[in-house]
Amino acid sequence: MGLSSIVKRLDKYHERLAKGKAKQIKRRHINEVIAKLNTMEAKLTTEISETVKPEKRKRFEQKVSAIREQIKKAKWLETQI
Amino acid sequence: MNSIFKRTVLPIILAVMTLGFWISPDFQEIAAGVAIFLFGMLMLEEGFNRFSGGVLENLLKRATASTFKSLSFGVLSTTVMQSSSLVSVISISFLSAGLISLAGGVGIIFGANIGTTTGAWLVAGFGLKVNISAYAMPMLAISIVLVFQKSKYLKGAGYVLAGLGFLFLGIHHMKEGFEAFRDQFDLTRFAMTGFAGLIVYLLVGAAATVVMQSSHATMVLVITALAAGQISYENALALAIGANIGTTITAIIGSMTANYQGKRLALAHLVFNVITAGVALILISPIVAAVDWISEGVGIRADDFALKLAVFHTVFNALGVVLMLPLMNRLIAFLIRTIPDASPAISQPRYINEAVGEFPATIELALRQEIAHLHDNAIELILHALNLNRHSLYQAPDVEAYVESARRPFDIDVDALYEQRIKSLYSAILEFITVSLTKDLPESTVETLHQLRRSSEEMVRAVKEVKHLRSNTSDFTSADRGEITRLYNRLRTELARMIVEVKDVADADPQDRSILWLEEERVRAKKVKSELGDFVEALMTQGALSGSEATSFLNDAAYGYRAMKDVIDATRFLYAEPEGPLAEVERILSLDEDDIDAPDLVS
Repeated sequence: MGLSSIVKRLDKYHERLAKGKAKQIKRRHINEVIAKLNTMEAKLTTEISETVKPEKRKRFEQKVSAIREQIKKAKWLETQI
Repeated sequence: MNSIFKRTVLPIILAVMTLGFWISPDFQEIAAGVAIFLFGMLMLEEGFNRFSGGVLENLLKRATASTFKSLSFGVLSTTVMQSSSLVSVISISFLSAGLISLAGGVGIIFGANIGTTTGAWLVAGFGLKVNISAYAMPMLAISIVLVFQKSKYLKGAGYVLAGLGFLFLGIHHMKEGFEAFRDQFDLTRFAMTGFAGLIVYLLVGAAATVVMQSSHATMVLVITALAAGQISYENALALAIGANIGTTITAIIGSMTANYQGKRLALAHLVFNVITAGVALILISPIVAAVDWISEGVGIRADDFALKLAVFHTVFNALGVVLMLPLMNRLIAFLIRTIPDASPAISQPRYINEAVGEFPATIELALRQEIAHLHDNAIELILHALNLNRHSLYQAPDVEAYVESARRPFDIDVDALYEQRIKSLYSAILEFITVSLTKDLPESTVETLHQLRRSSEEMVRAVKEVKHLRSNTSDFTSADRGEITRLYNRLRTELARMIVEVKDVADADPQDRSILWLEEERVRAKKVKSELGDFVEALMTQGALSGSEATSFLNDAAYGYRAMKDVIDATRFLYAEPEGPLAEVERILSLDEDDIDAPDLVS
């Protein structure tokens, strides 16, 4: 999943939080972002089912794969908060 | 208008004041009382402005959901802030920024007219009856301690307390001044009766309010003069009606820097107050009788003209609201007819103006809308520079096929269009941001302004990148010249597809939207650049592409890649979540530039 860069950004967030320069992230905030990613995933899945052209289909599949990867990372982030 | 005022009216006022001071020391006390009162109002305004950045804006947005709510908000806010002008300015700013509706703004103005009458009650019911300066002194002493605190809210409370203290002190000096003045000079010599008296004193009241920019100050002056027997009750009524008309001039001056919506609200204020004044003049006798009846009912003495004036002020303003409320829809229709919607300016700012620059909420909203306007202009110019029609692109079921079919170069002067539609708007945005940053804004707003500035910078840069590749793109795609045409069409297609993706983000419901949708595009742009480089190398090896063609294309592909990156970043900066926990989540989940070079996002 390639979490090393996310871990670095999460550490920076914690540093800023400790200094009072960041707002506390709660579970519901991450769920809200996941919901937005799910919206895009659903849209792309519909596009894939309606697309005939192979190259276009491949592009949508790549995008869906990217969105699913982001959802995985968001869920991992939820376990860290 | 300002220069006319400075050259003519201002010297006259100063000359009259100087003459007055020389003739009568007591006049000095009255004038100083007015000055202290006005200073108090400035302090109140300063204090309430410190509470902006959340509280006030959220209240205003919720308070205008219905006519009753906007009316109530107008009454309450004017009573608390003791300034209908401040409430007008706030309403005009929020309306200009699109945060409240015209109906909501009109409701607030109606309510403000009732709320402003509490000032007269404060003076007549309290200010004249007690030694008000005894309250003013401790308020001023405590306020200065609060003003020196670091907390924005304590400072604001200090300014509000100081404002009230100065208000009380101003009333005290006006009262003392008129009491002493009475012994030397009898202003009742100038009393006029009948209709002529009504009109003359109405005009005096209006003029005094225009000069002092405050109907509150005029009413305090009238009440203290009335209590000292310096003016007749009849003339005081006319002065009060005149003050109502004079206060609309403040709103009109304030609306001069507002957009068409702000101007509509100022016109609503003028129409309402003029109609109310007209009704009061026509029905003056029955209204005076009603005032006497109400005063008797609540236990006000028959000779307490100051309190009766306060009753009159409330009754005739309330009467105005009662008359105008059923006509509100007609008034709004009249406003829309008289001041039509401005045709959207392409090259000039549509949303940012001085009026919206008063509050953080209006600054942010207007700026976002204006930068979206800049983006819109930029995207159109980028596509036209690539000889693509925006509407055809958005409707095309197959972007690649559309791009290949779009061969005809557009007959446009991209440099001229850049100057007209991008640079002028960008300059206005930068100026607005720079001016806004000089104000005392919350930290979150400052960060947002910096982010929005970056958004506009990136988009303008994207246009400049595309300008570079226009010439070769037009040459190599207007006719089929083999592999070079296919390469340039591929570049155009990638840019066009990216623009369609960015449009989807811009058009999405803000509740559903996330800039994380664009992460894959960021990676893709880099991947496409690399793929095109490899492809050019392969074509040169095969002899399908000359060295000169390859060089041209690789240079242009670099411009194209930078333009894609800039458009994506501009969109991300514009539509990122406002500062807060959601923005933090987006920031953590977004890729850094290093991640894009070694992505694990796209297989």
